[in-house]
Amino acid sequence: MTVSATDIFAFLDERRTCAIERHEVHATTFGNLRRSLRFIALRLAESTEADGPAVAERLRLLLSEWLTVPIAFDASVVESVLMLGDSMSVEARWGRDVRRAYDDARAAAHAIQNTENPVRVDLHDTIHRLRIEGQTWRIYCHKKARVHFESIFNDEPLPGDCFLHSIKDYRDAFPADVLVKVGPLRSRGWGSAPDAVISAPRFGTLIQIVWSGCSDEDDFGYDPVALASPSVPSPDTQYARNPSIQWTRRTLQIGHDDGDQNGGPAQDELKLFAHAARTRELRSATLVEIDDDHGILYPPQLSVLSFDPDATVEAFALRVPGETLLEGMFVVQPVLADPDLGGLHAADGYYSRIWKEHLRRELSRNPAELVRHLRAAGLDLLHVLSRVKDWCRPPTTVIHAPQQRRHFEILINVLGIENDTPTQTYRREWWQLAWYEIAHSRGEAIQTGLQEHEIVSDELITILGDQVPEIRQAARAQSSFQIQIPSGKSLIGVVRFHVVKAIEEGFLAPENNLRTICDLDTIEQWRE
Amino acid sequence: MYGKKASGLVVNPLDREPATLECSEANEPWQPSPKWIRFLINYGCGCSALPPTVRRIILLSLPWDSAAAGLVAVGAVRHRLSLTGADDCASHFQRLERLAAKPSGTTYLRHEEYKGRFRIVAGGGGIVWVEREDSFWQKRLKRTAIFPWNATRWQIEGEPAVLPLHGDNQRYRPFYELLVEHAPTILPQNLARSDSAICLAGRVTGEAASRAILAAIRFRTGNRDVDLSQLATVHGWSDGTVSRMTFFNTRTGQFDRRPMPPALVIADGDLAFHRVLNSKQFECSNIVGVIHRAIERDRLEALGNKIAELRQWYTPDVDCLQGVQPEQAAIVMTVFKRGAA
Repeated sequence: MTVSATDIFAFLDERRTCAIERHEVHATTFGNLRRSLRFIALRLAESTEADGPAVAERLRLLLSEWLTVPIAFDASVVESVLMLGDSMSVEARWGRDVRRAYDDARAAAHAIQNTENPVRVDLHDTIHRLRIEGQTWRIYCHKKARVHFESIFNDEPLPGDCFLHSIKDYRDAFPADVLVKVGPLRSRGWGSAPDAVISAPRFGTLIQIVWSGCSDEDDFGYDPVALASPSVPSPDTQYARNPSIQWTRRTLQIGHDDGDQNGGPAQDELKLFAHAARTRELRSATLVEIDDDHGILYPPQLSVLSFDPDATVEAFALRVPGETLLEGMFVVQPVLADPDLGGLHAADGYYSRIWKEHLRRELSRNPAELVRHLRAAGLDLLHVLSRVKDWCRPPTTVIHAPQQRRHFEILINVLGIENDTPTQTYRREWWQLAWYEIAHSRGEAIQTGLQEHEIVSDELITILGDQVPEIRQAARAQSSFQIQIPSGKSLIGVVRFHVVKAIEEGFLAPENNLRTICDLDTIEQWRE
Repeated sequence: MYGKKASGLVVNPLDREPATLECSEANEPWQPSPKWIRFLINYGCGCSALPPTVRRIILLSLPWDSAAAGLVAVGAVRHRLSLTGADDCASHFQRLERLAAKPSGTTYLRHEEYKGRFRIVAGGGGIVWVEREDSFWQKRLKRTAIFPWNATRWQIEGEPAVLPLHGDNQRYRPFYELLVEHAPTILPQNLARSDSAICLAGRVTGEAASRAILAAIRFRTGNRDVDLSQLATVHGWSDGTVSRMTFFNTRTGQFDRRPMPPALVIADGDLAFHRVLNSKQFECSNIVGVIHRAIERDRLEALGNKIAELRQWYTPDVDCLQGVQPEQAAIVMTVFKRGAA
């Protein structure tokens, strides 16, 4: 059963005035943790030390998550803070100010451990009240945040259909009395929600639970047509974007934060970080998720070679993610023969079998020592051990391996794999050939120039056009598959098909990480 | 714009009994046409009635993805059904003359009685000469002339006839009559002639998606019902009838036929709106962009940028909005007219 336009209009006609109930949460210890980590992150972002910006980036991720997701205050908070190492080494690398802030952060992290996160408490009380009152309600959150919401309600589990995770979910949702949202109203990045929450509400009241200092985006609820309409009261009136929908606003203060009195109003880390990100050389990107663990980031408006199994004409076409490339279609990735590699693409798994075997052996022998060696060699990743375990997994959609070439080189050097190329005609080191194998599996071969990309795409559309019935059959059976390009064609290699499971905007990523398959955990770091 | 005050009952001109128009969306129970549907059809009538002296670009913003563009387009069709000369007859011969001036060799004509297909070979002085392609008939009738007075007996192959091929083209009349209250009377001859002045620019997801969203809205009067895609009379959606609306496939950039430039284009969605605005084929047409707001921020911003761009050459047409404010919550519109800012 789907919601109809008539339902929506009838609902909006009944509620020409909607309400925002903002619960602003204050807590001294968490406030201290925020302030300390914010100080370190901003200081290290400007650091000329090699690892400074990378550590700052990790702290940004931590804070962004904590401010937009109802996490439990448990050991993971302490563990995350302790990633910087001991205080002495922090002082040695980044100075006394950073060390002082780090000590404060550690103390605050230990202090909040095993206390209740007040956001979770308020969320529990709010939903409990809505249930008692018999109101209909929905929760808007990122799908990865859902588990944190569910963990609050072990006593009275949340119904599966109460969650909305995307603009599509929002479009398909039946109107409700209340929409619950944790975090500020942002159109992109951490804790983002559709502008339609304000410009086309599906609920009478928005209950927004936010940490103090986290302010909504100034133009959230953007409606370009209403802004151009002479009947709009004022362009700078928040939530007055649409003249036919009025908003009332009420703010409840929950708890207190001593730091607010000492240090003035709480600062908005999300805005600070967004500003810092804009100054770096990152590119806007749209995420196309292809399975539960992987996705591909594409620059906005990039036309992607894709396959629509339901199309009767033009099954293969260049489509723009989110516009004409939609969920249920397939992203098409050619893995073409590379003359430098002698057609190595067809043997994906040759090198990976070797280094993964070495890695498994080392991991089972002494995992702590392996991690120590990797760190000493410069592998500065968070949670190295769990990453290493992930790299041991057999190839699926891609060959699981470090995301960065530099990290992979370190890994192979630490494993001490000797040169063992299949032929001796290539003047490249073993790790380089193994890296090309990984890159191929991620579809990096299509990262050629734009013109070449279009020529290859046009050629592929012609070649694949002859095989539509077989490909359609494969697409019905599998969410990911590959076919061999028939011999005698102008291109040699295989073509991989990945179903589009979801599309999401709001990422800022380095150029060299676009258009290739990445694991979703890695992609998370580029969420705006 | 037509009157808004509803009398509740109108007379169906075919059966001379009081008739009402009911509506069903997505197989929901039948009910009197909701306000939002009535508003959009009425608005389409109004857009079609705008004087052609100045080009206008209109944006309608709705809170929900719906068949709104189709409703506006059918409203525009309804308006033209009441106008004298609102058909392709006059423009048809002019078009044949243009084809004769630049014969492509790939455009064929068919006659309502003569068998075989004909190629245009020459034209000028009020005559278009065509030649039969089929060799069997060459000895009997090879070459013939088309004049303005008999041009409508000729049909461009692959396009709808200017006059109907079958006699069932009156079947939608009761529905058109009831769509807009207090609208001028429909001229019966218009129901029997194709018209290309109104163009529906479909969704970028393709023609099938455009048709499906229109087909989800059904109208009923008495014991007869039709869906909105039928009332649109797009060629190929309702075989054998005349077509009162052209269809522009924004996905492929193709028309369903090669029409005169339309007077009014209704673009279904923000992406279709961009494509229509960027197309030279519509640079003289009035354009109505029908968008909904439950879309991603990037698309909203792209639309905002386009509006900012338009403001360089167009000014808000406040007068055009007078008296047509929707009663319906959450529908917003803005009108621009060509002229220095």
